[in-house]
Amino acid sequence: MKIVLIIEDERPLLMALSSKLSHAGFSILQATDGETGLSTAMDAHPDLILLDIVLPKMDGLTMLDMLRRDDWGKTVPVIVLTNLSDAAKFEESMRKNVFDYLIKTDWKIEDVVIKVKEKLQLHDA
Amino acid sequence: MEVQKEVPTPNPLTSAKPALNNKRVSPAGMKIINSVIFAAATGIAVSFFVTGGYIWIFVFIACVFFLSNKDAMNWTLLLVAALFIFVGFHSLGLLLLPYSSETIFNFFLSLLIFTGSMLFFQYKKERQEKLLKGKVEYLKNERVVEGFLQKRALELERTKIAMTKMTKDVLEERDRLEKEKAKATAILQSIGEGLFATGLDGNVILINSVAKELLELKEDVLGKLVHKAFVLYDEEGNIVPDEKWPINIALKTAGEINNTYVFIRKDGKKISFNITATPIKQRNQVIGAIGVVRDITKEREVDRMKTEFISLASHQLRTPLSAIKWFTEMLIAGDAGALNPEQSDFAKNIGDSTERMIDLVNSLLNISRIESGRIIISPEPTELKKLVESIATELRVKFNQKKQVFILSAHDSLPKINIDPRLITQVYLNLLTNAIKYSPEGGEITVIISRKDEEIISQVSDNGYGIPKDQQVKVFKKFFRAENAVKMETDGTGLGLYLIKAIVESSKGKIWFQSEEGKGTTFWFSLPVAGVTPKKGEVTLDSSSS
Repeated sequence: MKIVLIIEDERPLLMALSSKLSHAGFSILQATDGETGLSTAMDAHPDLILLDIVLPKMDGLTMLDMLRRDDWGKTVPVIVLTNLSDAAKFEESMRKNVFDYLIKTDWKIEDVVIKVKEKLQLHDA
Repeated sequence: MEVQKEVPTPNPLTSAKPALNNKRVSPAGMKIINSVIFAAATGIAVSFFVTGGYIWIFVFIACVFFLSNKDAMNWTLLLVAALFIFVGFHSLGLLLLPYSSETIFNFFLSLLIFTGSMLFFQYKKERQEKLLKGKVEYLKNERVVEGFLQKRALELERTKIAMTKMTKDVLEERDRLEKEKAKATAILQSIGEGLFATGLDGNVILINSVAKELLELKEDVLGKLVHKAFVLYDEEGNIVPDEKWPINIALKTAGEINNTYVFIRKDGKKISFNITATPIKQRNQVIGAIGVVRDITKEREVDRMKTEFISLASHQLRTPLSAIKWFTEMLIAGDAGALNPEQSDFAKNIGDSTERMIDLVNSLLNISRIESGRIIISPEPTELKKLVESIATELRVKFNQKKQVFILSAHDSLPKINIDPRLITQVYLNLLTNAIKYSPEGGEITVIISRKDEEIISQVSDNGYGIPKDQQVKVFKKFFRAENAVKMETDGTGLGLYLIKAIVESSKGKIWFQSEEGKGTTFWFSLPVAGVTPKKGEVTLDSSSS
């Protein structure tokens, strides 16, 4: 079973994503701040990370920086899932080898699940 | 001040003309002549009777003639007198023949003494008269000189008074000018904006305290070349070369220039400021330039805060919206168990409203981005036909829902144009969404793309409800929705056309329309074949269809 780590500080969203992804057959790990998210990722080595940008303690892009310094973290697929439609943030994420930059309100949760599946299948292949 | 005209005053000392310029013989001369004439006439009369010579009658007449002629008189008198004397003597000789020589001698002697004494007295008298006259003349002259001097003194006195008055006036004028200058300097110094001026050579001739403080300059900047006074950076952080300095451009082109620059203070703090440089002209000749420096660091700061606020607000608004969106979706999908038809309908309504709310947030964000001019324009060669095809594919479901026909016609050999496809997609998307919304079922929606001169014209038309004539002027206004549109479709923010107008204009194009209520609406927008130049910015647009 593929493990997906969701780093999201908004509990309702965390709940919705966890529920939808577990229904879709993924094993879910949760973190509500950047620091916990980073340590969970390092410990559990999930197959994919869904990452928010605005996070307490450590923001998503800083966490991503730290993650990409790690040998394992360098290649782990990350999908940024945020509500910040800021070009600078988008470009920065892309430089940090992010698979996708999704604006939450523009995406149906179903489509997010499809995106995750797509990414993991691609990764498997 | 009255200027006294200098009138040459006649000098009485030199202007006294000698009174001897008449040609008349002096009175003394006349007396002598008269005496001689008298003596001669006597001789003539006597000899006339004695000799009985008729010739004397002629001589007498000639004499009268010559004496009556003033001009001939002087020269002829002597001759005539000599003749008379000669003839007189001749006659006298004839008369005196019977007398002794002693008697003749006594006669001549007495005649001589008589004539001599007469001449002497005459001479004395004349001399006295002359002296007297000279004295009178002298006194007269003296009086004239005195009068002249007095007049001069008076004039000098008057001049002195006038000069004193003039000096006073000049001093007062100087005071007034000094006060004016002080006032002008005070105004310039107290102006809230920085200000400096240069001569034609580019040397600083004036700088106010705000400019000095802002640019960390001292008084010694005066007389120096402005571009040597401090280092100016452009917004990208490059040093502005001398010839690109706003003042130098204003001096060279004689036109106004306005630009934003950056200055790095000694403490390392960067300040952004705007310089407006204007040439100073006198009789159409550029004689210098004036620069107004405005600190816009605070404005920039406020702008940055606004951006942050929008970013934060959008995040804050979108977070609960995404939760509502996703949970509604999950409810409808039956993730929490199957819904009965009524529950499903309710949930769909929640979903639709949420989508409208998301749309509104996106539109507001887009408008704030467009208005702040921070929108990124990244053009790439785009085939408009393909762009519209892909948009139409996205909208296929909506067309089908209303059984509307979509027709796309693009002229052959249209060039690819350099535009930002994301921005232009918003334009087509908005126009097409409006056409779908405001056309009845079974309507026809057409897009025609053609080239006209150096522009590509896109035409989007429908045979829908149209826009009421009296409301057409407000079509591109923010938050405007036509009355008939509001009645038919509650969904809509009134921001779509406002936004796309801004997009088209930022892409150097134009947008216009024609509409008739009940018949339909056609929108046209143009884009330059030459394309759009890229623009650095901070934000892109979010997808919105309102």
